[in-house]
Amino acid sequence: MSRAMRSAGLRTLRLGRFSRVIRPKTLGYGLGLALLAIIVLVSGVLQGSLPIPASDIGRALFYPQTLTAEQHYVVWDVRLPRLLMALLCGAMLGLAGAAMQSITRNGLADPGLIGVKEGCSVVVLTLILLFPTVSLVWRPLAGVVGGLLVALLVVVLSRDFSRPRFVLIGIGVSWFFAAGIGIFMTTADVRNVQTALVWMSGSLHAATWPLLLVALVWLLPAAMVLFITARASDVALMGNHTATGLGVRLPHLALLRFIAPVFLTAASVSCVGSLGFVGLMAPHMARFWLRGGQTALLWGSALLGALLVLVTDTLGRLAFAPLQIPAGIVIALVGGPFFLLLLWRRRDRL
Amino acid sequence: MSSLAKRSVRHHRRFVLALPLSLLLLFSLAVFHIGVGARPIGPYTVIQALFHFDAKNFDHRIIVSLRLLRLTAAVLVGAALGVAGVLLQALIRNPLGEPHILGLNAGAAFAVVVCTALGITSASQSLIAAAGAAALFSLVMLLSSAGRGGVTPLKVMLCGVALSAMISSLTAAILILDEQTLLAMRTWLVGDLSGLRWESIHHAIYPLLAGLLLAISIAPGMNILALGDNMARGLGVNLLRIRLVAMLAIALLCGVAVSIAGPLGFIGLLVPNIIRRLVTEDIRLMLPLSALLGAVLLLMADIIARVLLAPQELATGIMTALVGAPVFVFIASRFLK
Amino acid sequence: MLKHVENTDYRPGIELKNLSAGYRNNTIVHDISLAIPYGKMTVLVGANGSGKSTLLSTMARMLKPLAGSVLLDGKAIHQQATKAVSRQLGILPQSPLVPEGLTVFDLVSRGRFPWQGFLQQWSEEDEQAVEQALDLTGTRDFAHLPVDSLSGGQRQRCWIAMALAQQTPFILLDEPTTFLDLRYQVEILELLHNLTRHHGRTVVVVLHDLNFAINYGDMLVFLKQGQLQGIVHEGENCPAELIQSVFEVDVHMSTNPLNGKPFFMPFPARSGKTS
Repeated sequence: MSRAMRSAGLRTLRLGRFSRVIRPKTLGYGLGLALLAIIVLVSGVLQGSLPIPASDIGRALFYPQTLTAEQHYVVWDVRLPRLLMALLCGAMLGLAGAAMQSITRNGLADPGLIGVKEGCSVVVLTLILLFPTVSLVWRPLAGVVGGLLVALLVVVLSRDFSRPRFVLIGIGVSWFFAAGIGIFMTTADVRNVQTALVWMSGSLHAATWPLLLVALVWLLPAAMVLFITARASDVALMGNHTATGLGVRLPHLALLRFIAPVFLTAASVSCVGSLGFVGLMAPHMARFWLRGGQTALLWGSALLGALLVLVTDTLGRLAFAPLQIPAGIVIALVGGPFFLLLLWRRRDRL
Repeated sequence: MSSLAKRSVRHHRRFVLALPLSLLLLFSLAVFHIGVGARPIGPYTVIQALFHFDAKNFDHRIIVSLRLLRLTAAVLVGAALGVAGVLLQALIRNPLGEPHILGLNAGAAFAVVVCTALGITSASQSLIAAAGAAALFSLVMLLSSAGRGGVTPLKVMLCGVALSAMISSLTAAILILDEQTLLAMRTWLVGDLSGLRWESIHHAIYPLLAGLLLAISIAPGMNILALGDNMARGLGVNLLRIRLVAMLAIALLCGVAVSIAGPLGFIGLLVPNIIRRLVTEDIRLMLPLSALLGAVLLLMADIIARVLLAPQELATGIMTALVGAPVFVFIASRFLK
Repeated sequence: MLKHVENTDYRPGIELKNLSAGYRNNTIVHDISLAIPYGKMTVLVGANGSGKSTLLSTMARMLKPLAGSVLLDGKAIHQQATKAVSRQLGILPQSPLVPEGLTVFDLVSRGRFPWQGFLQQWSEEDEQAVEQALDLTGTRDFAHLPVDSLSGGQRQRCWIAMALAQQTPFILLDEPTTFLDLRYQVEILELLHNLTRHHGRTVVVVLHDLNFAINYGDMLVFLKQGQLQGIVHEGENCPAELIQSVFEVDVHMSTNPLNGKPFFMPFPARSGKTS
């Protein structure tokens, strides 16, 4: 056995009744990515309008009381929340994209493409307009409701989400709700409009510690659902009949693995606005570099999504200083060609 | 009589009925359109103003200087988009084709925004917009023609969406960085008919006429193109030439529309589909009808947009999207497997 | 471990009681009552559209019966939890999907899903079952290769290995030999036969080739237009009239010199003439 397993690069880990298969290579890459994310995070803390010398990084992170008031503010109230938020939202979107692509067996699927962002934005903008004093913390709830309703609409309209037309119908629905957003954009006060435009383009500068906590609260249960159903989802990839034959409860699985990504995307959008095609790109990148089933894909997409948002946000923040370009725009500029590349690779099959 | 001949007669009959009907509809909507607004004006006054203009009458002055302008713009833009839609759907053989979706509007908008940000307000804004539209659309067509299936509806749509998204983000980036331009353009960006000037219409007339003439000239050829590439080639149609001319016509018409009213979507989607279902698929007959129907639809959208949330005026482009997007979804779920 | 059953018993494994099955507006299988014997290879035969696949799918609980029931060891299969059923019954559907890049080993290991849990993802039993399945099907040599790089016959053996790894007493296969080269058809059928004779499994298979069915099947079930035309039990002779009526051809019967079973050669139907 071990020969077959070893030649496939697998190892077994057994502790009492607990057992699982490990791919050391994939694990290594994963840890490497995590390390990279930490490095980018730390360097991001140091850079910006108030540069902090690298030698002070230890102090900045672990002995904040030794910093000047200004440095403390910049590191702990501005940069750290923002960078951590980037990681968190990137991870959420990466997970969402990976899950949705596997349950719809459609490499072009992404909750962001099917109108979840727009539905979410409409509700959040309405909330802002009608209840401007409501704390930021309630936004994700409102947004998730909006996102779920829109996703439900798209599923009902296209009836079968394993066909490519699911994406197109989703795009149509997203236009409808984009028109709704347009109503806000053209009738509200222009300062609100510019703020809204920036938010909707995916901006992390409003990140605060309470918002981070809220995002985490939305991330954890949804992520758990995805990881627990990961193996079943691997089996489901082999066709409905085979999956049923192996004891997978397909309707339950589909429901869970469709709702969780919508949750994650809507929560992310409610916190920081639209971050473009992260959910689309991260899983493809993960599949390119990492081998393995759904679990490996989920981890990989989460890490790569986090890195993607972190890097683009940092670029947007620093590259054109003092002008700040929202991360969402940078991602769209990168994501567009990426999407086209995906289309190119599937050109014979579409 | 063969069934084909019977069908052709039926179409002609329907056309002969539809044409005056649309003209009538257009005129009544036009009168109504002029009457609508922050200061409602009755139809009788409108007709008086048009035929017995009295410079001392305040209402008459509004009509002539503001309302007529808006009406003319709406009619021209609607007609341009209607015709462009017909050509586009015939070109890609796909009932989901639409200037907005396929990146024409995004390209045109980008070109216009760049010029405005750079301070270039020139007479040839239509042409600049048309150039932007043509460039992006050619890119979409180029990319989607790759691969074994050639230009399939799905590929065209997806390429159009991807490229539009990219260019729109660039446009958004410029607007974020330049608040002045944002201020000037935010309503225009969703497609709107307010804040117009006679100059933009004057400058757009020639490209519009050029586009329409080109469209008329290739109409017979487009009919044959619908039979398939091989059939068309066999019947002596120069595929490359007709495609290029069609793209040029579409770009001109879209450029005109965008330069006057901004990127308005979905008129180009609705018009050909309606005509095809109710009247005919013969492009020669579709063209005049599409111009009329496009104008009619846009007038209706504009009227509703101004009346719906009175006294607040809604951008017309939002109206067209609110109606057009569901229609798109409907067609997509029927047409795509 | 593998269960070894005495083959002399004639115990019903799967029973069909007045089963009608099909899709919402379209009843394809009408009122079939039948007992699938334990530890034997039962073959469903019939022309295209006779309902063989529909019947198999309903037996495997892919389709809900429109009337009647399917009993597995006495209990209605559609009322049992799907995971419990998957420990009893394995299925190889007609055109399974192979995810891109999946290796043979991974494919076969998926067959262990009914026995695994979130914390127990790869127990000793799992490893051994997969090992055994790879050995039985002769697929160990290319276990590390992606499935989509293999030939049709090899691929089919991989899917059978997956069903074997599932370690179910019953295995249902829907046309496992269609589109395969003759040599692979024989290979697969020999494997299935072996499974019943030496490993105590009960196999139900839909085959389109009559002579293979007769050669390998212990019990033959003839279907025509969704109805049961006849059953040929083990040891009985297959009557030519049954074949003629089910397939609407005339046949010439001779004997297979290797095992004494009948062998049929078809002729176009001429009214009233039989050889």
